[in-house]
Amino acid sequence: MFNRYVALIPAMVIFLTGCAGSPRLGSNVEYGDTKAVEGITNEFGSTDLQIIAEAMTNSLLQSPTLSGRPVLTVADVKNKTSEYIDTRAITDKIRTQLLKSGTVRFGVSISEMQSQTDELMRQNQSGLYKSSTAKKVGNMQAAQYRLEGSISSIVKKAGGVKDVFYIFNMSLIDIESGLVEWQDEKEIRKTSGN
Amino acid sequence: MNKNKLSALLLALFLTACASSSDKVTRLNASSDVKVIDLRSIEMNNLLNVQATLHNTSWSEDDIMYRFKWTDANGMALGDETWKPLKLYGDQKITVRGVAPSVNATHFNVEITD
Repeated sequence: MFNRYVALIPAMVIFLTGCAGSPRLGSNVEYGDTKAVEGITNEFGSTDLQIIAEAMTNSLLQSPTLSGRPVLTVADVKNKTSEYIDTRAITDKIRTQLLKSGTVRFGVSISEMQSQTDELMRQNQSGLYKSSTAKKVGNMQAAQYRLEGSISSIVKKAGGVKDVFYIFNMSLIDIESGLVEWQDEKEIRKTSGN
Repeated sequence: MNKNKLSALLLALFLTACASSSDKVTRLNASSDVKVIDLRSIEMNNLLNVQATLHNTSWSEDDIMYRFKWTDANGMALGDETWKPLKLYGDQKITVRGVAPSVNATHFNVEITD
């Protein structure tokens, strides 16, 4: 009799563990692979953004210009396509990957300059901070190179077939000399309906 | 006897070369006829650069996806690359390149799927 109860213990443990609450709420939403190739339509998509950023980063990392961890800054990427494309998302991704590689440093971009100067002014002019801890004005490090680029597209439609050709150009410009020290492009062709 | 020893040595070397190459290629439910026929790596700007040559061994065109995975000397993963779509025509060979995302990357793996 006692042995029969003992035998039931593991079964009870499994049953009770199974009853323990799952950290999942609902089952209508599925989390997908963020690195998967997205081919829902042939408009600019997540895969294009990731492929362009990766191609530009890989090419730039092979450039001898980056020896000695130079300071870069990001300028605009012009969207010359007929679509709305958040080009900041592309440059942010490129900057993230370049910084993670440990081969370059980045100065604040034009769009970040306002918050940088606001913070410096607040520390130096508000009178709220100990002068020994306030960061000095005039010590910001200027960038040696500027990253800028453009994205263009050619769209053709005929007989239910739509072909989109994207070309992304990026260049690294020496700010002092104005010389283009590196440049590369990435082409993407997406055809639907054939 | 010496001939046997030499044969054994050559066989061992051949098997080692095969093992090291196939160890670096992972096929995820890839039923396609695309094979990695050459794999080489060099260091540029302190970063590991990898080149893989893919061969579509069939006569019909094939669409695959590939990516490189990188690990440091301790086997710690250094983030995931995005899958890259690639079209290969029949019997075409294409060379693709990858650059390590960090100076800490010392090992790589090529993943291929359909």
